Amino acid sequence: MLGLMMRDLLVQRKRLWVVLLYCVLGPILFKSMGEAALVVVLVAVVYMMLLTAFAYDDKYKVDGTLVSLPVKRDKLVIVRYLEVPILAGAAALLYMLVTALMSPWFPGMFPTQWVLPAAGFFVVSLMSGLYLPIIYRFGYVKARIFNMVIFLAFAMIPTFGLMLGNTEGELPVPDWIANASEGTAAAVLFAAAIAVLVISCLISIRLYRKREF
Amino acid sequence: MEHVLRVEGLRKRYGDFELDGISFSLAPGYIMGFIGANGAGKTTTIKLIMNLIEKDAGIIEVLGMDHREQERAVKDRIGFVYDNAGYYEELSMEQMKNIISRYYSRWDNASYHRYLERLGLAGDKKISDLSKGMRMKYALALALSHHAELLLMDEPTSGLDPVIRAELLGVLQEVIEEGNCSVFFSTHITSDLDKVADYVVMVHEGSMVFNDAKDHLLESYRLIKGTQGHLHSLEGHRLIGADRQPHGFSALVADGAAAARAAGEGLVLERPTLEDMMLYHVRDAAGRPV
Repeated sequence: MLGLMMRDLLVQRKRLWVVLLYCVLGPILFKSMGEAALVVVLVAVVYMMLLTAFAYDDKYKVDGTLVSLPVKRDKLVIVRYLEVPILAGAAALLYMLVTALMSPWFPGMFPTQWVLPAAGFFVVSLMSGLYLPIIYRFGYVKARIFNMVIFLAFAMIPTFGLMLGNTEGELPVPDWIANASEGTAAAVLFAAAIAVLVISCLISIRLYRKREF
Repeated sequence: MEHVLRVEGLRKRYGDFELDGISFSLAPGYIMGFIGANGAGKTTTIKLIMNLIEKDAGIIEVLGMDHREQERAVKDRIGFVYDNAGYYEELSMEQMKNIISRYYSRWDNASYHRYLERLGLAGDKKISDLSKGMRMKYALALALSHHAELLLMDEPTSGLDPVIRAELLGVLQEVIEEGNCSVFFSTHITSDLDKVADYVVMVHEGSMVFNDAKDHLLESYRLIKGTQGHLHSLEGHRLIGADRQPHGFSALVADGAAAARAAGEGLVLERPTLEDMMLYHVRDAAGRPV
């Protein structure tokens, strides 16, 4: 599994500077969101890196080669799902480092609440949980339009949420989350994210087992 | 082990194409050529063996194991070479090899480097810098570097110049002479099989046409040419791809000796090549003369 993860890192090594760029531009472009800009950056980084990995697989028609190896198709799927928390974690750490360094010029961007990385991970997991099975079922090219719809839908959620929420710009959340401690909220979001990924992974495995190349 | 590859009653339907009950088997230590025109079902058959697509019916056993139930064990002992094998072109040969090699229990790095050298692939080039011939050589080096007992090749010489084709075929012959590997090799370039194949299977429009030892095929089949008189004498004999003209006819027959006895003097018999055999069978199926 490590080999397959390293594969994606190797193949995209020339694009890693874009991740740094997102982490630098994020605090600047989304300054009005304050610490919550972390969520936007996490979504952007994971979405870009994961979809690019699939794009390369499709571009170079590698699926047939990988599936011909003595490796279970399940493993090929699980690796990509494991990359979601790994990419999210790495992007979060990088973002925190960048915002710490940029704090003299862009104060208030460094995430101080644990609930924010957890919320970012939850959003990323939900998005990935939706589009990954579509990719495994139809392939990257045919799934592109679905992925774009999902991405745009998630981009619109904060706007609709704010419309539904109060005038102070707070998102409508259930009372039990709003009243829970930060640690509890973060743990719940983290657990929900894992649950979403696991369920989505099981669906993707089922779909990929049946896929023909 | 009686067979390294056994296929029986293999069926697969794709829209208006159907692989219709293909059956053949390959004994250890031999090269089997799998010929047919484009779209005949060659790649479909290889994909079914490799479990890239799911069969509708039939049995596929590789090295005595069911190809699906023991998929990983089977694939650990198979080397594969596809016509358009996909590799990450951003990577070097070494990097791609490192990804692939970790999944084979008997990967042999020394063999890998030996084959690269034997095939003239020097240095650690980026895969995007490899020509088609170099890519095929690279694929062959990967396929042979884990002590595979069966080598499955799907049109490996397609689009290659005669020099590289000869080089690849030479390596195949060496591999067979070493005695540890059998080869199943699909192609429409029958001249390659003239050189190396022990057995030949032909498929056309999803159906088996013949399955026999190459030497036996070439000894028994004959191209015949004769007059209308000869044609009358050959009634009851199967004339494959017959071209009937007012002045005479030409055709392929499976038993040249029997045809000669029936037709009598004057019938011209020629030894066909595998290409002739394929051509006449294809034309026969299409109902068109050669």
